[in-house]
Amino acid sequence: MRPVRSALMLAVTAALSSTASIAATPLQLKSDVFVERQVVRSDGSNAVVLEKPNMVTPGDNLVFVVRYKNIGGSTANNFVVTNPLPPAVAFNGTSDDSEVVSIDGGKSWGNLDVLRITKADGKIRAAVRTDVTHIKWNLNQPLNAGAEGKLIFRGIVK
Amino acid sequence: MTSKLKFLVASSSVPLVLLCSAPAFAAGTASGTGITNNVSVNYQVGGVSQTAATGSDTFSVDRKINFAVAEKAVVGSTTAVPGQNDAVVAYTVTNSSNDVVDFALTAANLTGTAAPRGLDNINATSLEICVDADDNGTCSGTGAETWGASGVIDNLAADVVRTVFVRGDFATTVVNGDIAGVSLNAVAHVGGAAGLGTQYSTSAGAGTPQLVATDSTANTSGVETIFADTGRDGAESALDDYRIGAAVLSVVKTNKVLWDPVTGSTNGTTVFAKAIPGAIVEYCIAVTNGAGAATAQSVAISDVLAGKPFTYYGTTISSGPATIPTASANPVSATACDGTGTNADATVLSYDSGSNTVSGNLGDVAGSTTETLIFRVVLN
Repeated sequence: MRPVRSALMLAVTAALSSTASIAATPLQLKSDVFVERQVVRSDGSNAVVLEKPNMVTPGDNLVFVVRYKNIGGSTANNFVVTNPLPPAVAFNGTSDDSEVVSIDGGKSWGNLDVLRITKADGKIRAAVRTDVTHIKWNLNQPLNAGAEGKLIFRGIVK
Repeated sequence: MTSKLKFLVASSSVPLVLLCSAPAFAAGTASGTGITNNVSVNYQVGGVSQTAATGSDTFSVDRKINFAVAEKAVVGSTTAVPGQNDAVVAYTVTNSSNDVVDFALTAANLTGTAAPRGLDNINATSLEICVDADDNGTCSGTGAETWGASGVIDNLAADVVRTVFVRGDFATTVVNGDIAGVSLNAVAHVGGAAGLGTQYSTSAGAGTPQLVATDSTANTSGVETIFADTGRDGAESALDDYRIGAAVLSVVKTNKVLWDPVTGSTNGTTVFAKAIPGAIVEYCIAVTNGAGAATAQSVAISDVLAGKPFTYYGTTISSGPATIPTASANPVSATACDGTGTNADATVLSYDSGSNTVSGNLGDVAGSTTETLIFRVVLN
């Protein structure tokens, strides 16, 4: 499992979306959502920018950024981040495939390519991204006091 | 920007297809639906499991106005005849928005521009609209399915298709091949309540590319309205057309002498019977419908023989010729004057001795075809 690179603030000019965090625990967790916009630059080439989710409609591509930071005084170990997907969002991959996913509401986990779905007629098919209900990252690296990092996954508004 | 985020949103000329390889969700999540991302974390400090921390944020799905108007299958020109009233064409309105939408409908004639199948050159008059509110494929003409100069699709739910009928009248002066193009126009209005809601304002969003969120009032909690239809203007239309399909009938009466008492039977090459008293003559009344014309139905023929110098001959005479078509009590029908070809739907071909009239119904005569009535006489 790759360690997630500790990184500072996103160099994205758009203000971070509404963010909630609980600072009472030694580990701080923030989830931000951006929506991808395709823009045409002055030279005619296409560019993709991230914006606050002010205007979001079905089919839009979302980028979820989960940022964590150890604000306590001790090293945290066996660090597991679980992110149930919002019902209106279809999973669309992560940046590094370091995650495991669940397609049954968090009961069982695995890499997406080994998970199977039993259809109504009893036949079995391979799971696809839109079947994913939960994402989980098992971070084996200890998180020292003051250290931070982030996890990124993509979704599509159903 | 970190490398990972760069990977995700690299601002190079990333092929759009990669970014948009999203599964199809049709109309998708209803507008106003909140999306909340909850995250939890479990970890240990000094070997002791710690309480999970959570973080979440919420935003709402906005209203995407997207719909289409199309000619209803089976696609093709609708045939109308000169003088026809209430000739009907049909369209569909499909709501691909993620919300219930009302649609205001109007119909209009094209004015000499291209119709789907040809150039518009005539108008239908008294255009009226009827919405197939109960979706049974017909317009009952009452209640919500009343014909009117304008129409309303009330509260069309997301992903639902509604059929809309338009009817018009045609003058008797229109001719075969004339084309009348008619457009059905639909404008999106606020749905939800009974009756037509207010029109979605186009002042903020018309023509504005959806991907550039220029709406300064946009926010994460409210529901903005975004036009995603063609032209991003909340208005769509489609064309259908009528083609005037008049029958273009022409009638030709021909005859040939089959036999005379002196020469005998015509053999077509060396022996030709003459029209002398006692000769047997075959008449053929051929009805031809022009190319591309509408099928003429129940084509009735009558030929009064009274006063003519011949006598209807229905059965074989004792000294009659051997080569004439099999005689019968009545005229025969065919698709050619030589008696060949079967006119399957000819009915009631007869000779009335009282009125001395040959008559018959050739049935349907389709465009580009000929059907005939054949009978024989004996010259007096």
